[in-house]
Amino acid sequence: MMLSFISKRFGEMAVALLLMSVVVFLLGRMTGDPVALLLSDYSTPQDQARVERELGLDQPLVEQYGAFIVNVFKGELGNSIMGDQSPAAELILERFPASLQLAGVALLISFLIGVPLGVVAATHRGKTLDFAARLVALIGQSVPIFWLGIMLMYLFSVRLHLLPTSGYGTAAHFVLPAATMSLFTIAAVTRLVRASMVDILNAEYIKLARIKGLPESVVIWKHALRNSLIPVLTFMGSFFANMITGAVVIETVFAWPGIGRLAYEAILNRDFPVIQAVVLFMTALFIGANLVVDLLYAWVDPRIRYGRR
Amino acid sequence: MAKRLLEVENLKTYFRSQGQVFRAIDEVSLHVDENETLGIVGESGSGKSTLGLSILRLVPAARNPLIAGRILFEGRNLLTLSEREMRSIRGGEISMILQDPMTSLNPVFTLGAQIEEAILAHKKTGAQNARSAAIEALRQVRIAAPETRVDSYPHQISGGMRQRVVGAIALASRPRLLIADEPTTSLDVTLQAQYLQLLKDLRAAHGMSLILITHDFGVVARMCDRVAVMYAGSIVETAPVREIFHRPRHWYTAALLASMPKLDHPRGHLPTIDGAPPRLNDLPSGCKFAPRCAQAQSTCFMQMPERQIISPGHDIRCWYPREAT
Amino acid sequence: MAVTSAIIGRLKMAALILLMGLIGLPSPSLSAGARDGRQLVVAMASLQNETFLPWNGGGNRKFYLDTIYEYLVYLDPVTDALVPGLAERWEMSADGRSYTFWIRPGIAFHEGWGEVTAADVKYSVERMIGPRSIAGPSSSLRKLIRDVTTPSPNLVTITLNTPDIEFIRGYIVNANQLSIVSKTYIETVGDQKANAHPIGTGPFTLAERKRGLNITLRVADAAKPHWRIGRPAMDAIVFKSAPEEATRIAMLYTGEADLAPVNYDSLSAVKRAGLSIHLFKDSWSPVVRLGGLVETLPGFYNPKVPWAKKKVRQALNYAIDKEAILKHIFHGLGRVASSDFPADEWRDVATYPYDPDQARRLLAEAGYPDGFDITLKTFTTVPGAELPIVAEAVALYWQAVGIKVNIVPVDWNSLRAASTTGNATDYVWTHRGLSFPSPLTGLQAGFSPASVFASYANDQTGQWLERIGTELDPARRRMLIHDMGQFLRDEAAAVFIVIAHDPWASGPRIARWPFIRYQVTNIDQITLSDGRAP
Repeated sequence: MMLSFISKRFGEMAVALLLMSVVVFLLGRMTGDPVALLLSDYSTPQDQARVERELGLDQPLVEQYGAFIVNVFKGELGNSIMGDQSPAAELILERFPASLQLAGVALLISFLIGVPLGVVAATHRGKTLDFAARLVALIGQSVPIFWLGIMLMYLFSVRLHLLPTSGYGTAAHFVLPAATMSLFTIAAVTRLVRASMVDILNAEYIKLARIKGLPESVVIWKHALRNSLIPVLTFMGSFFANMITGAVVIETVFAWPGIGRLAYEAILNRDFPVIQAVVLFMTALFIGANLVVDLLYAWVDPRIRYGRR
Repeated sequence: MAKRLLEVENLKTYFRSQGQVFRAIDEVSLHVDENETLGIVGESGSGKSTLGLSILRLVPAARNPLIAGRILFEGRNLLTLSEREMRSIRGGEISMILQDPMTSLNPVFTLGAQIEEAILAHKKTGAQNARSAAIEALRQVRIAAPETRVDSYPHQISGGMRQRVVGAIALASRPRLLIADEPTTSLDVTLQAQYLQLLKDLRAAHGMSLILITHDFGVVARMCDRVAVMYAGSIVETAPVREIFHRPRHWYTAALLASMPKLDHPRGHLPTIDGAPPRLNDLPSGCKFAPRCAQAQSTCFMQMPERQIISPGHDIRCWYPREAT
Repeated sequence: MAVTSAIIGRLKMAALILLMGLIGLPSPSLSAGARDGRQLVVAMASLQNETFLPWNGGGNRKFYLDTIYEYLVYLDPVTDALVPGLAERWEMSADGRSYTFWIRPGIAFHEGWGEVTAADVKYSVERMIGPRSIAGPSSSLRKLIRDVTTPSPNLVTITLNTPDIEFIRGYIVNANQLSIVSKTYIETVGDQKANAHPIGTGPFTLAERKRGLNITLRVADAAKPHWRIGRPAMDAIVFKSAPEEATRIAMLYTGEADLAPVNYDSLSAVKRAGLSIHLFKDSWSPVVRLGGLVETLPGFYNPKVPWAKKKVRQALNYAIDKEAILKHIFHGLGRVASSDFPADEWRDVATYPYDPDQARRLLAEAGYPDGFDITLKTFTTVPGAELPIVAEAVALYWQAVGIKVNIVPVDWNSLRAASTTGNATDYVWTHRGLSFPSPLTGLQAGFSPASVFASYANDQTGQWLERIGTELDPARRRMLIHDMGQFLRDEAAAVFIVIAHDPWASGPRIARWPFIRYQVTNIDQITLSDGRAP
């Protein structure tokens, strides 16, 4: 059951990646070609033709795409067309750990803060604490992240000299980007936990847990919370997507050495091979994350039967 | 004379919502002796379930309840206990089985975990002991292969089995009193009979008392020693089970009994009681049943009658009781 | 892509917000930041397109390469004169077709890779014009250079296909990209290794590199002074990429960086924050280039656009109050332009005055009394963050004389791709002209009949370029350049705006910075002040 579920998921993943590759490939080609970037300001049409030939850009689109896909299967995502033409796969692997660390820390913060806030809001429904938690959630979901990032940088680095403005290296470097990145998710987790917790606190099994003589803390943090987390898990995939897209802005603002910034700069430079590789990688990552979410889901909620969803 | 286990005196449970008061339990008095089964019968909405939850002080806080009166359990007033003391009563001394077995079990924990938890809440013992106790509890409620079932999740077992597991949880810490709230409503007829038998056997085996909340006189006849009939939050008649069936003195009890399906009634011709129960936020000032009572007279509309004992163990609240025929 | 411009828009807005914050609040004291030793940190918008091989990196100058490799000839930061570098002296043949360089003896490559010889120079030139070279000047040099010979181990002769008396200024000096590598080293280890671990003769060497993120250089030989610049003031130079301007300024502010390029937008905030401003004077020029005016390349010419008529082009120039743009967008720094890019030769070419009546008259004469519709595309570059706001201003002035303007934000690379393939013939766009040590280079790029980067080219511009290129007398050549500038001005080959500076900001540690306006930073020659707060 489990195996067929996973293999089915891998099949879906392959189809999604293939579709994505077509979209990326076409979008990239439709918005201009990279040859001009490689030419100096003194170039002639002959130079242009030569560079096109070198990059294979003189071939029909279908053939270019075909060559691209064949290479992808060989694990070659192409080389950057910029500077020393590093393999795109290498660039991604260099940058990915930093992104993963940041998203991981941010996700952790989101849960560590968002879940208790949601629980407190639900158990104090209609009271001051609930109002405060909902206010935090509202702010978190409406503040633009770039604005927040710059404001945090201004306050904690420029004014208070407590944290570095940007860059990567020490734990201190994590604070501002991770805080910026997690705010939206904290808000989302708070709202989700609160909503499902309010429902679940009325469930019969919560009554039964109380009838057993369990302390209220166990009733809430064990019986109610685990069930309340199920809808939160459903959204984990989209949280992750949020962090990856948010990473483009956050990594740019905080000069964080991740793939978001790689993507940003590759787009600015029309570095097609890198754009394609990053987008494919992010797609794979996104699908992979959803797969992990599904597995987590099954772990948290034993009612879920693989393959029958 | 048998020993009093539970004595409820003048219990009131009111809910407040949007400036209105809902009198869900209104001046209820009852008692349960050791080794006794008390049935509480009434239509849905009569406050039976709230009565059960009130005894355990588990009326949902969200409904903004106001509880007054006395609930004496072995002489201690539960309403004045601290939350911590109350916790040791719940599950340990008084337990409860809820109406819906399908939703009473937490879907994300194994049966074993849910039973062990109930045990560990009242007894300091090792995980291994708790597990054997859980298996034993499953065996007691006659679940086959309890050693493997203990690791199942609720969705993996049938509804009848689930209700037995709920029973196992309720009884895990050997309570003195079990409140069973419509425990068989959602089971089919054969399972109902089995389950009732199980409850009966367990009650006897554990030497505990049982409050059986039901709307079904058939269940009452089969299980109970005494019966209390509830209407709109009040108990209108309490009597030994034989008396109720043979000599109901309250008009409501009689009407309820008459509406009970019997084999000799042609299908579709059940006698019903005219009218509907009053709304709990707009109760009549007199006898609550008066508006529907064929025998009601002017007094009935003026004032709610007090509880009066009309024969040993038999009390009613009625100005003009039925003749004992 | 729309996403790109959306992101840029957001970041831009973010920058503005931060800067307003900085402006609005009293400044805390500047700190030099906690950094080890004498380290200079330069915050750059991007290190993308980075490479450590001179012929590998496209059109942009690479400041870090200038500290690792050296050039045959340098420009004096003060006088702009040619000064000897790896070439002790040089000679041009009388016909302007042949240049001989005497290689300075005793200059050693790093890590014992021998001394610089004529063979290294020949190799460096040949790699620059080789088939795989994509460096900025490579195409021009490919056409220009006939061969490179080494008559003796310390003599190099470069022979040209056509005469060029400004060949050294135009291609050899440090404002260009022809730096000298070690033939032996590169042939021994191969391009890939040489790129990962470059060997040059400059004062610095590559210590650490994180692709796209930072480049750390350290002094190559701490034991003895460098032959050309002596002992650098710092032990290490770190180039850090920080894509967001607000972040770079914050870094300067907290002392995490010493030097960073900034936008005009940020200048007041930078000043208020107590940071120093350095201007690369007359280094670029915002300009509106007109599509479809290259008559000499098939598909690049579009006679149907209104601005195919000279009077319309002149009207487009008269209609704009360039003084106002200079004052409000460029803080009054610079001057109104009469040319497509900055060059001293054109200082006395008259600018188009602001004369909307004249503009209307010319439009009417050209057959457009009610104006016409025009699409104006705009984007940002470095330098050139101000182009979108320049476009807004231009649009307002044009609208005032009856021309309906539709502004379309794009990204430079798409536009560049469109314009170099003849697909930008029915609209106009903002752009920036850069300053060149030899203006002929810029004229060839922008007005040569064979250049796909040309914005205005016809037989006449071809003839002008031919005459300038083959003129052997320096004074007459300058005169010809001046005259061609006058011709382009009269033809209104573009809509000239202003000659602008390229602003940088520095923290309190920078004492003296001998940069050169043609994007030569001379970062290795910066001197540091030990002072903390100014």
